[in-house]
Amino acid sequence: VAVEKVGSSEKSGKSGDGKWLGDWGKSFVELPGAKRFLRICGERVFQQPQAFSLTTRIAGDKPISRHSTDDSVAINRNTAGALCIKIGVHARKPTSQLIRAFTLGGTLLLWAISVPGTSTPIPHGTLELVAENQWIAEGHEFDLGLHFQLEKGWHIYWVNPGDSGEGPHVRWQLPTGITAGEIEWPTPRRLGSPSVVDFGYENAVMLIVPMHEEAGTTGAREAQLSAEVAVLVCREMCIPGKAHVSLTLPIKLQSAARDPRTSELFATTRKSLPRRPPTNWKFRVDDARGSFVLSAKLGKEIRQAMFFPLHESQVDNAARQELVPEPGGFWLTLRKSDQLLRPLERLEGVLVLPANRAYLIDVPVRVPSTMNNYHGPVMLAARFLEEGQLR
Amino acid sequence: MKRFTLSAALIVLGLLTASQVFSGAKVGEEAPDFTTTASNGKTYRLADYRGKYVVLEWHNNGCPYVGKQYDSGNMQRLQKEWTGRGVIWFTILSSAPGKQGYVTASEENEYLAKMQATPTAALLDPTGKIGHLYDAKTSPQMVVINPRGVVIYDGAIDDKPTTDLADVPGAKNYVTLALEQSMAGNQVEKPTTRPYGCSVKYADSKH
Repeated sequence: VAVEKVGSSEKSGKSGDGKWLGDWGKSFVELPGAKRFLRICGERVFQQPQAFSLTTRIAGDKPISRHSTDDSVAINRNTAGALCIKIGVHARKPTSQLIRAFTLGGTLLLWAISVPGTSTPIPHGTLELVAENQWIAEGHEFDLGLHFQLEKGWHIYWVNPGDSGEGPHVRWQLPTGITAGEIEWPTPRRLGSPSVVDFGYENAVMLIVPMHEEAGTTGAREAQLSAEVAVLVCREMCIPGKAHVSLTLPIKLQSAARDPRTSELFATTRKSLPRRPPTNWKFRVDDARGSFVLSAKLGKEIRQAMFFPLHESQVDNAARQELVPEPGGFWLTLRKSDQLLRPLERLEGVLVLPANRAYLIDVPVRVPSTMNNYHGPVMLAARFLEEGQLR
Repeated sequence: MKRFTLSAALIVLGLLTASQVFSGAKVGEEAPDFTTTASNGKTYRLADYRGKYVVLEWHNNGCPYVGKQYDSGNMQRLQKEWTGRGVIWFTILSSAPGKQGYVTASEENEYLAKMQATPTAALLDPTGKIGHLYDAKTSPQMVVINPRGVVIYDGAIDDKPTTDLADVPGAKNYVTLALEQSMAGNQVEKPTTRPYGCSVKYADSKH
């Protein structure tokens, strides 16, 4: 909980960006309380009380409305669950009992609620670095998670952001002997408008990062794991944010035990990761001039599929992906990106099938050999026919 | 099985032979013409500038990627340099009313004065007509048109897709590259790139 008490006076005559606290000339922004409020609640406090938006509902309870014409209370819950209370007190008027009660209550709560693990504010959300295990087992792999929680409607991006935006960038600061692997990206969602299509995550997502500890190299009983994360958070508009997250874990010889506080989060996140497809499924990608044709034989007819290209500038993100169901699978037409200037060797991406089952596929692209524009399609079609006859 | 493969083959055949409907400007093809009003009150038609190089710059004053270019003074420097060399520079405002980056003519004039930006004109495109004509995805997306009216570059402003001001000095500017190479009579080395940035805030945009 963070509480900021704001005093204002009519005498000062300032409006809008007036910043006072006792000392009229002093800015709020640099005060420890204001910094703390910003850190926990992601909101600055330096305006006069009238500037508060008086949205004051606590978890669906009765709204607390403005107490008098001059004093105001704004109560919000940040995404990590901390209660953010802003109180505006007009200096001209005697402080009301309600305001005093809130100030007191808020101060008490400040001590009562301390979030385990520190969640750092990012624009319109929070970021927390969490570990799956309670400690690092020497010489073993372990998983960390970058847990993004965003306000409703805000999103961040996948590794391939699509037409606009940018995925999070992580720079690790790790002790010698500990190395970070590649981010495991959960299956994204298609976001945006019909003409500008992005890939990302709304509301909340955790990016799991596999870590490795080389036995005996750390030479310490604990390790401080930190990361600088640059992230673009968007809704109607985009706001770039930077956050420093950190976590200290003990290093032990015994095998690691799961942290009960995060085990469910890791389990749920793993369910949202794309999987390797079963080995008996067959994929094929043909270069068909303006498009790629992805065909799949899965042993069952598929009527719905969506492909997310892992790399930028290969597939036209906004183009409709035409699906043709087949008894043994499907055909999916993916229009090439205008930025794709060279022939593509492999098409990599996430294929989402009905019931949100997602698979990571990596298929070599077949280029019809020595065909010119006129004969090419005919030959390609003929070859498909031939294959069908052979079977 | 055979029957289905046949139908699939025919679909592929149809797909390949049917003339595909392309929206947007294509590099190497004629730049679609447009006529619109600018923030200075004048009307501009693209076709009137045959014989000159034309740069189109998609703009949204609230976008941090655009902010990177303007706060560093880079975009103003480019506008000054190239208009000084006879290039026509159109800043295009395709944000729909109520969306980020939408401005009235006078607001845009104030912005240009404040930022000391000197494009040939800032074209108002609140319906997104020009934006859709060129299939503009982001701000700051850039298009370069040669004196014959052919698109020679379509894509990002440079090779650093970030919002970080510190990335401006070391970036390879694709607009400069395209103009210099084309003016020297050479092929444009990078005719198209992924136009990074904020999505253009069309009326149907939700992000």
